[in-house]
Amino acid sequence: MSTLKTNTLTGTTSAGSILVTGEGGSTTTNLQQGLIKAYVCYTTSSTTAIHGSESFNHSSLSDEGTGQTKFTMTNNMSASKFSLSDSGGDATAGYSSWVQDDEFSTSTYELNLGTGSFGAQDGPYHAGQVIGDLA
Amino acid sequence: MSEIFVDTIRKTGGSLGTDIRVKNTSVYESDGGTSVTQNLVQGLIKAWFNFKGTDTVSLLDSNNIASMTDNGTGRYTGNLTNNMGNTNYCISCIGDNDGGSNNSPSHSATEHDNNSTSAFQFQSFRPVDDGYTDAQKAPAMIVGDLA
Repeated sequence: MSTLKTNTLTGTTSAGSILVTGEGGSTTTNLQQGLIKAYVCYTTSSTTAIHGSESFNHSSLSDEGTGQTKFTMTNNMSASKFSLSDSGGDATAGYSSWVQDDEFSTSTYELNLGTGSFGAQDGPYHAGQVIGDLA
Repeated sequence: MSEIFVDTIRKTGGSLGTDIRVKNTSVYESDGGTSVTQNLVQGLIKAWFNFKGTDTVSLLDSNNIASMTDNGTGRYTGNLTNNMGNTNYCISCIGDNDGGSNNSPSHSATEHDNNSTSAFQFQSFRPVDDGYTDAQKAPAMIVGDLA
């Protein structure tokens, strides 16, 4: 087995585009596009705060009201609409979450938490992940 | 600092690419090709699965999931093969809505207080009354720091 040691991976044709061969060996997929660009694990129960140190590529978060949290990223996305995935709950009742179209920018987004019937509520645990192209 | 300029990463002497080992301090250049770099390992999904939560619980497809445990109607424990570095990792999961019926699970939740570095708990609920109900299928993913 050969070992490649380096600190930075850069595409030769395009700096931000490296292909890796898929698990099945028959296709290639873009390495950069397959990576999670930001994630956060947080609570809004008493104060709005990150759980432990579980945040990546976020510079701040702010309490915007019941169940509403706005996040600011350190490195910007290339477009103001990007893919988000999230989930959370308190294990005792149904739990909903949603985003607001007008709260997206290349550096910010907002997650909203609610009850099973979409009434705004705070929660002890929620996690979000950002996927898409970095600037 | 050393830099490697490459378009495709493959296994030595072949076409497969599954034997690559990446050190946890590695960074990559952003999709936009600007001077922005981010940590490669932190950007990886550390575990994912799709499972059947009705009758006998079973994994349909997964990575880094050792097993799933049925804790009763709509409640499950996932057990990791490689542990996470702390208990505050991020989980996203979605319950199967089974054609949009109000009696089918569409809400899913995670139970952070009972997560450990090697196991996590999650539930599925009926939207009509917030009661626990088994998920026919439930995909999920975990991101955060591996141990």
